[in-house]
Amino acid sequence: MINDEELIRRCQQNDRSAQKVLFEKYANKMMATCMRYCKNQEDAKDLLHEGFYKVLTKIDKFKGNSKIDTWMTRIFINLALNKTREGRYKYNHYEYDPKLEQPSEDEPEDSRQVEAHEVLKALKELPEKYRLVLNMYAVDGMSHKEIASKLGISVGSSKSRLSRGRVMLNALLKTKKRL
Amino acid sequence: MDNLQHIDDLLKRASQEPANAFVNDSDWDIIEKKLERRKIRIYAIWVFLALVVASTSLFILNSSRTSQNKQRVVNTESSQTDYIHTNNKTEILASDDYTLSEEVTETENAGDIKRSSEYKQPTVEMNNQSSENIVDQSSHQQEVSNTSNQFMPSSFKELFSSKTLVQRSTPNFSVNLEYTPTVLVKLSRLDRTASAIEQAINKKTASNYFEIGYSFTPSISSKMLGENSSLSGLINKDYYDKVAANESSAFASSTGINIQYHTKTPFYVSSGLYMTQRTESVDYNYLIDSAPAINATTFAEIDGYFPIVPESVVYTGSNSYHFVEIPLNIGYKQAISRNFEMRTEMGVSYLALLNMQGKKSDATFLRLRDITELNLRTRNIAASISSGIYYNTSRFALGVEPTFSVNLNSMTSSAYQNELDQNVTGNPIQVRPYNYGLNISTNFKLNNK
Repeated sequence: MINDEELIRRCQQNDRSAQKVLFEKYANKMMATCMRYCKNQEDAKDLLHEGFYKVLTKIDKFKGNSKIDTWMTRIFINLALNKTREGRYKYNHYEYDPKLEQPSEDEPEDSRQVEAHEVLKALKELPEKYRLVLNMYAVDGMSHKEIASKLGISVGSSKSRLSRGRVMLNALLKTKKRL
Repeated sequence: MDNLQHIDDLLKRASQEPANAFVNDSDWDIIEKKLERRKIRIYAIWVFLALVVASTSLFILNSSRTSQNKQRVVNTESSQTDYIHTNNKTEILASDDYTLSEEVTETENAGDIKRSSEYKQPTVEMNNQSSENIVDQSSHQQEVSNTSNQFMPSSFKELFSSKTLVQRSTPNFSVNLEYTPTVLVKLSRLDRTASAIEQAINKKTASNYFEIGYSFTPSISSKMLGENSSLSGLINKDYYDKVAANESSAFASSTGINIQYHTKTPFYVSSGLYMTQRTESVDYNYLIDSAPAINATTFAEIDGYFPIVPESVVYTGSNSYHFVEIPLNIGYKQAISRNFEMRTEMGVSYLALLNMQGKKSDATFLRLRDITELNLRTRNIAASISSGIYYNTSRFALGVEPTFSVNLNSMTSSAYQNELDQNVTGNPIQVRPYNYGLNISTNFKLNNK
């Protein structure tokens, strides 16, 4: 099995077979990222294609200061945020329910009882502004300062959106469980 | 909300689940196609850059050559006088029975003497004339010579190793040169070519003249999409994916009468009257399953979407837009050989939209409409640039020029009536077409004496 270093070196030389190996190795992981940032599978697929195209055409700029998948994930996230800014996803439909923003009196959802796909499904139902911050903070490990900078909002807004996003996600998971 | 920190853990765990079901080989095929297209684009850019560099080099080389040639003529005129005076002595002439080959005798141009004298010091015999007379009577020799040894290829220089005495004479003096006949023949040809170019340049700059002719430009028509910032809220969430992504470039053309006015300088003015066609291919195949809920106060923003009975839009065709085009360009020309010159033009065009045919989906509701309903702008301004090679004769000029033009304004009109509210005008999408193609012109020269 070819190691990442060799794979990257060959990709930097535009070796098509190496590029395909890189795709096969990281496509699932990147698709998971795409799915978190997009509302539907079609958008996620588009993002996956654009993201890998960008990764493969910019890979000569990868200096090896981080893991390749970390670098790739950043590219995918930046692309997703760019698309959001361009308005490609800004009219994604969601059923707005004010009740979701009310703090729940019940106990928090037990993480051990929730399936991953349910969490992701619930995540997609969140309004985009909350979903983005939740993704960036909770999953991708960005700081509020970084999130604020990337989304063009204040640090306070980032914190507030994170908090509301958590409340809404928790409420959604409980609702689904009851159903 | 600290008790909800576990949500973060839930998300992290969920995000680590693989997404196997969603990725397959067709995804790689799509990416590979994109990479291949990029590769072709890069090749095309390199070829284009190579052409630009080659053309520019020719242009610069020729400019410096022309100026050096002019300088050479001046230098030769002055140095000839000095030379005659300082070499005012009798040398043994080459034998009278020396004969040049037929090719060599073509070098009748007395200017050869001056040019050759720069390669090898000639010897001069005075034929019972004073040197002053010689200078006076040899003045006619200064008409053509303008080739210098710095333009001579190294392969020619090697030929100088063999020495052949060549006698050149006028009624008043003779010059003996030790060169091979082959060198002289080749130098003579270079000389004639250079002088022909200079004559061509001098001739063209000697008087103003018109060129009129037929011009045809096959091209590829495409467009740049933008958003009207005040109405971008009216762009449907699916517009880019379902509509814009399925509108593509198509073949276009422009044909008409081309008029150029050439001045005494290298600059000229170009205009004409053209029928220009721009096109776009559309290949829609999508479902409208939701309708936008428009903000009832501003009518300029979509608040959300509500589901509707799905409506299918399937249409494949080519939309065409016909214009009358009147360009006004400033051009610059530079001779690069006896018959070829490089011309570069840039300027603006006025395009009046005459008619249009086809169908196109709107940006808000994604419904298919006749393009006449889109209320496109009928008066347009475009900028264009072209640069290419012309083959010139005394009466005709035949040119081939890569050309690029782009609309300076959006084709979509600010007068477009929003069907939601009569008080809201303008199209949320801005469209600026552009063309790149190859202009082929055949011009007839008038007043070119």
